[in-house]
Amino acid sequence: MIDHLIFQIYAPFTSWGEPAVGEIRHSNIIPSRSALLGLVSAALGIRRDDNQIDNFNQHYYFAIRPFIANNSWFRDFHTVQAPRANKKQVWHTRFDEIRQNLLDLETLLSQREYYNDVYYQIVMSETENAPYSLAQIQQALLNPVFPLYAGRKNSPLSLPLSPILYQGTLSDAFIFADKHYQECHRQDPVIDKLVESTADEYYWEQINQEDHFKVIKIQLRQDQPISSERRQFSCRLQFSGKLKGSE
Amino acid sequence: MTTFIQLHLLTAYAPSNLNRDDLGRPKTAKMGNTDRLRISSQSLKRAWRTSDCFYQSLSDHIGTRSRRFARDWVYKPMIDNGISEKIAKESAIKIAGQFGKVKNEKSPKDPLTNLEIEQLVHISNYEQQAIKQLVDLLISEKREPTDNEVKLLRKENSSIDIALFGRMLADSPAFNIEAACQVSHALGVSTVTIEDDFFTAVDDLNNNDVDAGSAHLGERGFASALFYTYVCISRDLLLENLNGDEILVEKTLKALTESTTKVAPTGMQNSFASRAYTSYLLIEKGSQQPRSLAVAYFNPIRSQDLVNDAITRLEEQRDKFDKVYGQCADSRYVLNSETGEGTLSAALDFVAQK
Repeated sequence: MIDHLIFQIYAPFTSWGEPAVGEIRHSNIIPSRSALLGLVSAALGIRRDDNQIDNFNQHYYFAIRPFIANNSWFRDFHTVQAPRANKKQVWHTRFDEIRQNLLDLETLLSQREYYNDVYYQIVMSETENAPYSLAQIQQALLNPVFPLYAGRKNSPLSLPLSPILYQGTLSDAFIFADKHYQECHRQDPVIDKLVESTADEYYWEQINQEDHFKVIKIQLRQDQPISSERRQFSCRLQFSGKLKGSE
Repeated sequence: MTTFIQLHLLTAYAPSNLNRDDLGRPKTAKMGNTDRLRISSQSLKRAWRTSDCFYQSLSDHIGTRSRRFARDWVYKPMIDNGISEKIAKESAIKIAGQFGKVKNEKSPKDPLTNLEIEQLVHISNYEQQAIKQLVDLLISEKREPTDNEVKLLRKENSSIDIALFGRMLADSPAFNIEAACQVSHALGVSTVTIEDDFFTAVDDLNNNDVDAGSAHLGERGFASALFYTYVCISRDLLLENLNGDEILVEKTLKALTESTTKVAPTGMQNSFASRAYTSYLLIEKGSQQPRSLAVAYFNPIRSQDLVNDAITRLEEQRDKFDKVYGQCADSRYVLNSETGEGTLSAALDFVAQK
């Protein structure tokens, strides 16, 4: 029997960062491994500069089921105004920076991608010597230390994560999760629409799941954090496919 | 355990173009497969932190707007107390320089003009007192202020600004501050269609003899919406960012809450004058996982009584979440201008309480 921690993620907008850095910040439709590790460690109160974060990031598996019926995406046009850098001038507040020197302001442009209306069910499992137990993580998700968000700070979660522990195979965990959250959403028909939308694609990173899943795609994703200080990421395999018996 | 303070606001804006995309049209997004008007979180935060309201409420609403404060509060008392002209002038310039760009005219009519700053600046009550204390010290010690002493004059304002909204310096990450405040994009609660305003401007001196056309043709998009805005503050992180200063935390929470209810983004205000106060504010406190109530508007509202229906939906959503997932907050305060429930001053007291 394998222990799993199941939770749900929904925010009207999600932006799950891709490696590209520059004027356009792309988003993937599903959360990266680093995003989910970040969400859990924020809940536990592990800081960005904490020494244990690099060790924490080497543990846990995540599997994801996105519900994507009527999803769409948009690009947010973003401008930042600031006066030209001047070492002699100290700006104490943003108020000073942009209201005292209107004529000197210059504008920097960038664009961020967001996906709308994707609902996720996440199944998390422990690896050997994992620093926190799944039960500890469940408690942290219920009473997090830092505010949680869907990829960007401006995308707060719009549903409680509602974490729940489950024992069984990964495929059974997904079936259980669906049943469990359907029950939650029965009382709130609005969210029901999201939950009932197309969701026949599953993503996972554990090997040897072929007994339960039909693998359709294997991708290399560069989202395994190795050094938080140097912001380095290595590649890992991401499997995706359908649940056997569900076609 | 962390105490989270969550603000849920419903604010109605008449036709306007508060936050524009690269084509100059109002920003939109989809939710529940329908188009909604949107104000980005960045735009909201900019409007709040650069508003007079935010700045003034940090000092209990009493402040002074002045360009010549250094002349009156520094130079004059120093001269009156027998300090040399040179020290008094230098002190005034140093202190003025903390608040704005000091004038530097080559041959001013009045030589003291060069102790003033170029723009009007708002000086808080706290800052005025700090300047007075510093000047008294300088008079007794007959000297100019040090660089550190003048920097202290702005400490409170800069720490509040950065503690709430954070700071990220790619060059020196050691000085980064994690923002204690999280702001969502504001989304319209109903479906929106952007309308186009076609406008012309006539040439006043054209008497139509040769050409009766207009001198300028233009077009701009606009739309109106009732926005749902969500703000989440980690009280503990705010306290930490402000070095444990509880009084400053309370001031900051009040200033932020007041700004969110009264300050509108400044985009195209001259064309639309769409300033608005919040119709409904729900404040929640507790250590439970924060969640926005945006799902309340997943299905767009279609009604003749938008504000009241939006309030009903929000409260129903709050109750549904409590029922399904367990109590989502320990205490709550409601400000509802439709029913007259609650007051802003009581809301500010509630938000500041531990």
